[in-house]
Amino acid sequence: MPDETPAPPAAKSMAVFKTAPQEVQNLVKRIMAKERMEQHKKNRTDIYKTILQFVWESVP
Amino acid sequence: MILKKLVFNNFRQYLGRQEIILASGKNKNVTLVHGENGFGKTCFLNALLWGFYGSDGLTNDLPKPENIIPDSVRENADDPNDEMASVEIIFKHGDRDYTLVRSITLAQERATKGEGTTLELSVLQPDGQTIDVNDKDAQKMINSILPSDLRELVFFNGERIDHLAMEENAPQIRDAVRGLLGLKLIEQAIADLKSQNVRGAILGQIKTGADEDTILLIEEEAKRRKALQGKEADLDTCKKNQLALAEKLSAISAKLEANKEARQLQQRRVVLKAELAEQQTELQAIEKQLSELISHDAYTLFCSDLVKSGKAITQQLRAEGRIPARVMNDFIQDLLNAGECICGTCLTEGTEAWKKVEQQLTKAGDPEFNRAVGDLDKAIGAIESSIDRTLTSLARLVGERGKIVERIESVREELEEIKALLESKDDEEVHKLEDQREKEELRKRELLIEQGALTQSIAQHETSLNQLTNIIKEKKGLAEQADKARRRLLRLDETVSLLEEILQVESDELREALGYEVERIFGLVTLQDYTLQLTEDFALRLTKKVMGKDGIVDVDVAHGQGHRQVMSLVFIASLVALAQKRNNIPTILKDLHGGDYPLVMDSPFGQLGDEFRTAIARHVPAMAPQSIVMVSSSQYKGDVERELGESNRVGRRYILRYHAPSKREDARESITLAGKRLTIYKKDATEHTEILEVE
Repeated sequence: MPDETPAPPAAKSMAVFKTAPQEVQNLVKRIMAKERMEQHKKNRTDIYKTILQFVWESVP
Repeated sequence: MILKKLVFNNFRQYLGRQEIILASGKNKNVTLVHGENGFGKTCFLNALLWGFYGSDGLTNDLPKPENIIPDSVRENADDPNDEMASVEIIFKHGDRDYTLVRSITLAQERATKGEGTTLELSVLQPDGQTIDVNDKDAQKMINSILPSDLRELVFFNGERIDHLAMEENAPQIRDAVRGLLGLKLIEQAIADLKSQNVRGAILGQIKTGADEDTILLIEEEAKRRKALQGKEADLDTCKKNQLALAEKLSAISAKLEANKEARQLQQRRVVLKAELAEQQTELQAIEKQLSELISHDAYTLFCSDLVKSGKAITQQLRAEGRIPARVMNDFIQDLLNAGECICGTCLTEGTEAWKKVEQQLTKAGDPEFNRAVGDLDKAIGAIESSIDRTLTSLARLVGERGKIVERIESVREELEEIKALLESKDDEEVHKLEDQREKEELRKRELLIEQGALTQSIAQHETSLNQLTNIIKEKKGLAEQADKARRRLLRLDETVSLLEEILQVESDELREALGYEVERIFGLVTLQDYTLQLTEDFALRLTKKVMGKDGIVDVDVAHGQGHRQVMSLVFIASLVALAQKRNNIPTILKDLHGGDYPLVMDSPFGQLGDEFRTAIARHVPAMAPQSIVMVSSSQYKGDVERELGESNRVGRRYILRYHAPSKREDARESITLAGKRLTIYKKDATEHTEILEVE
């Protein structure tokens, strides 16, 4: 019997996200995508560099 | 994580190469592994755990965990570097395919007592590219997919899982939720953003263009901005709480109106409350008008003496003909400049006639003076008339205010009377509702005070932040580059604040959603009148509804190992089911965190009573996107076989055939599956197990 119950709502989480200015939303999206790619790495040097680059680009 | 294929090579009793393809279809998602006790079910589970986590992953009940390579291979080895054991696992997680191979040579095993292994991991990315991850990063990548401390939620011995249901293990459950539902990724992002490597680099950039004081100011500015954001969030919560409270009060009011005893009084109360609100609004409007009147015109009430004396002075000056000036001094100056009076006398500088005319300059006025005299007359007149008007308006507004205050007091008195009358009613429900109402009204007042304090505090924070921002902007030492870095620091702080808020909200939402799943799935597997709840502290609570003095209440049920096993299984199934659903929820983690996890269960039906065994067999494998279930013939026969058969979810099935000089007495030599008789024990000098697929 496949589970047919509805997915739980995530309205609050998205509402919080959308209250942030667009630039901050974009920055969060980019950082999280990079975190996903780098999450296995013990050495964080690359992610620090990338975050700095993203912040630089967010405030050119 | 969906398991596709396993290859065991010389892993303990799995001598030689043993290959298993796992069922991973949408409907056919269950793989059954039949094995008698002692034939290799626990070893099967450990092969998976070892593959993913090395010797750290092995279960505590595995004898001689340092011996991975089978004894028969170890004893006949010529070169310890040539003999090896390995486990290969091919699996999918999110949009990537992984091939993991963990191996150990006999030389490694001897040197490290079985702890040193080699791990190779290849990842096929969505773009078709394959990346090979090195040993250390490979382990980290596995841990990021399924953290080692959460492994027992996915790979477990059903008979040893009951501890999750113990209250002291609530922190473990909380960690499981955060780990399996992706919140740790947000935590990691926050930690990275806060890292000195990021923040320090931006501050360093500021330092190149600003002095020490400015740097401190910039840091202070960031702190104040964060504090302001905190207050704004508190205000938002306070307003939401007020709305929720208003709903509660409205519900209480409706219940009172529905009660015969309270109906009339409550209806009157509702009318009075509306009037009170109206009167209070009017009072605010009158007080605003009063305040404006006082700030604009009240000074006139203290000017009557001054106006009188001013008038007297101007009258006297007029009587003396000194105001307004009849002769203009620019006319006298023209005569002096022309050197001739209007009477024809020659005005030569220094002569008696010139001096007399020049003296007139001190008596004559100028046009500005006359205009000022005119303005003075008007001002005195305006103030005089304003005194009367102000007095009249003041009297009117004070009178109106008095009436409203009086009416408000009278409404309040009547409301107090209603309260007293309701309290005196001989009706338990009315008393209860009145108690609740009183409590909520107090809370309403508290929230109003809190809102006022927060609004004031936000205004103060804004002022102080703006002042600081202006000071920083005006700092001449702050070069353009440093100012840019300052704005970057602010952006960084905004990002951290947003992620922290999302983490909090998601944690709360997921606990609630998981609580719902736990209750729902437990409802499916129990026939008893029990409820399983996930408390706010992440503890599992088994309750039963009983009739108490104040109606039906939940009471805790004492639970033994069987109940705890069911509770733990239900929790794991709920978590896996929620993780799967979460994959489709639009959060910032969507597409970033693979939500599918299998359930690899060794003897999940072992300790269960009949009432749970059937329901667990029916529902739990269906909750997960994939289930691998290991069962002995005694656990399988009967209800479990029927339920799994009827579910039509079993996609693949294997038997563990045990070869050894002898077997346990209670273990069978053959079993019948799908009408076929299958040999599962063979007498053999070398102990080993082979895995055979059942067609």
